[in-house]
Amino acid sequence: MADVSDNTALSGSPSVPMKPVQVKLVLLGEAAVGKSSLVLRFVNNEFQENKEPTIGAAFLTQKTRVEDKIIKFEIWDTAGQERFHSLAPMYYRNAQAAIVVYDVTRAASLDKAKSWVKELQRQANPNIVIALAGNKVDLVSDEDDDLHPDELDGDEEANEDGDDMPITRQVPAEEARAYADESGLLFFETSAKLGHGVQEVFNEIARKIPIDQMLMPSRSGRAGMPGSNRIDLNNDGQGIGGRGGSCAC
Amino acid sequence: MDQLSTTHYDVVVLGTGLVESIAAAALARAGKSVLHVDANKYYGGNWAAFSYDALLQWAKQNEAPMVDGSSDGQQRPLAAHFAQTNQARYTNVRADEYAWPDATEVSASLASASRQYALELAPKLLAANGELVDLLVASDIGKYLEFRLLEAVYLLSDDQLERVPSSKEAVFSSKTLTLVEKRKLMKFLMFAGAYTGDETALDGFAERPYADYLAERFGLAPRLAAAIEHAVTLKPPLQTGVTTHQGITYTRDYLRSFGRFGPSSLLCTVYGGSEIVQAFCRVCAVFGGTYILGYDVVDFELSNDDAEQGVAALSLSNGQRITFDHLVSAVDYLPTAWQHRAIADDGMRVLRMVTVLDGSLAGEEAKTAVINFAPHSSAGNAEPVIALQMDSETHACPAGQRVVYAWTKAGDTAHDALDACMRTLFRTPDSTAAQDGTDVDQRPRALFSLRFEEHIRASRDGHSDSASHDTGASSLPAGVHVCDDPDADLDFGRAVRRARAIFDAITPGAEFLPKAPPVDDDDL
Repeated sequence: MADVSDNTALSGSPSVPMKPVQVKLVLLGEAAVGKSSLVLRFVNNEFQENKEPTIGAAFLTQKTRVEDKIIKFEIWDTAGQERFHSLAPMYYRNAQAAIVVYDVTRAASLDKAKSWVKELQRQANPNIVIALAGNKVDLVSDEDDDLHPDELDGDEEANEDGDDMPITRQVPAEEARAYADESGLLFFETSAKLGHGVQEVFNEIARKIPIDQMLMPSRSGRAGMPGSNRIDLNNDGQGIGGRGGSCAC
Repeated sequence: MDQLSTTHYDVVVLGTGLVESIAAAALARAGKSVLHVDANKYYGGNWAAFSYDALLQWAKQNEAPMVDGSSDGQQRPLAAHFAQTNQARYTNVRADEYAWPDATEVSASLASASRQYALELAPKLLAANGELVDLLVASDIGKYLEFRLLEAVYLLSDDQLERVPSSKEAVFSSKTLTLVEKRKLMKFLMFAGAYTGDETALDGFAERPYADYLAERFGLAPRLAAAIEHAVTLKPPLQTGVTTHQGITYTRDYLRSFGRFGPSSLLCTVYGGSEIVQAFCRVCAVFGGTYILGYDVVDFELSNDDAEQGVAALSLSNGQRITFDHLVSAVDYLPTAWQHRAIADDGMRVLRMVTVLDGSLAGEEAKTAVINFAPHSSAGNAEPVIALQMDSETHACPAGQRVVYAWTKAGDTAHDALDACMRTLFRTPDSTAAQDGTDVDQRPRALFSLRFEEHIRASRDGHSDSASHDTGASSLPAGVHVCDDPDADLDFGRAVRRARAIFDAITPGAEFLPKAPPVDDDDL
């Protein structure tokens, strides 16, 4: 049951205007490391203190240009399902990119990030582009020594362990970078609060995405797979000329 | 264990089976605060799909059911015992890894590819025109999922798998039907497709056996009548004696599903039904639902309100007490005293088997298929046996292999009947030795199989299949809504109807899973 019409799109002529290439990007990482804030900074260029989890959005979208191509990120947030070990495998299936986030002021969050990387390498698309992002560098910025704890990057949830303790960096950049290099990950330190490094993460992911592979089958049925009988629920009567066209009734 | 920051919810949902998960998504979507808990560390409950290793682990746990070692349960009248209740649901669990002389490392290779398997406890297909597809389309939740068209429907006939024509085109082009048979079949298919449910059109056969009707009114030979009753239907019967009204209704629904998405009436879910569960759970989470896996329920508390005694609170295994207005629960989580009140008496027992094969069925290229064994097929089964073949395109197994699920009504002869039917599809080391003929055995080899009997428990409320008000007549405490186990039907229709009835009972008049508001498309 070769789907001929979709097949031709794969070898489409270069003169045709480039449609945005859709990329499913998932966020992973411990609760309160700033996953949603990173997305909000990237998508809306804004930051909200004590941000509540987004209600009702399956994913946010944002386009970015790489050379002559446009990549449209479909950015999936965890919807809080990471909190009690309840993130479903479906979440990161068929993701072409992932940002695994940790908090530079909490060493344990890097351990959690490493276990997510391992999970992605075992379970996800083998060609997935993974970026490791050490967030909240504004808290440990040497240039901003006068930052007070109550002005902290309190996205998602306040860092309650912090209380009145001075905030110190627990994950040296060199250590995280060494781990990222050894595991084949992109690496960035970011501040969703100040906007530092955020655009760079997404740009670098966009550059690393193998565009040809993006035109291969993906979960949402945007591109066809020759010889498969995959179906799109929103497209009745595919292949045989209309709903009920061959119905015996 | 981590603690929840909120301890009161509009609705607590226990179990991540499909009924629970659809209800959870719909309730969160309608603005209810939802806490969704599963005692297992995976989604799906009795609807789960497993990697190879995880399936072996599941089998091991259920082969030797645990004994209640806790004595404190006796002192708490509303104590919950999820693990024991759930394990009691499954009996005669047996896993076999087959040793082939020239493939000694079979077990090692299965284990090394463990994660390439999605082996389901309760495999099902979606009717293209069924309630679940309609819901997935109307709610947009289908976008989370990937489907494949089922390629073929077979009926075992004279030891051969015969492809069943299920459309006018297929009847026309069939090479195994005579011209007269084609004419009779066409006449019947036209009639069935137009059946309105008005039983007077059935000439007094409505409550009589479907097979008689097909033979007497349409002159269909037994072979064709069996094909209609067991294979041109959305609901292959698990026992003999389907009435004409039931049978022709399922045939009609099958015909009407044909063509919606292509030349088949049925769809397969990539990664299995557990994926559908996860999609609904994600929607619940996106609308604010809180998810906890791997936390058990210890016991329940009734409210002190004497007027209408309701259930008011439960304790989780992390020690937290959670209060709520409504409880939506799989049977396994309920205290023993409530289970009996919750379940309809005629719960059914089904024997199920899942087998991994090293290749496709002899001479057949279809990757996904339903294979029906009508009663008294050439395999010798007295009751119907239904089988389902999946492959790597649905991610059931690695490329080149096949997974065959089969089920039949449990009973004295069920194991033998199932074995006989499966022998027509594939071979095991035993059945190969027995066939010491000169012919080369074309059947694929079984690498692994698991079989178990299960008790399918349907709630009393849901049993009538009505979507009307959930009366609570089962004398459960007010506010408790029980979810059915996966049934033995091929499709998911009943689960959707039950979830909707629960939703309507909790939020009368609210819209059931409308589309989410559109996401703004940001420009460059």
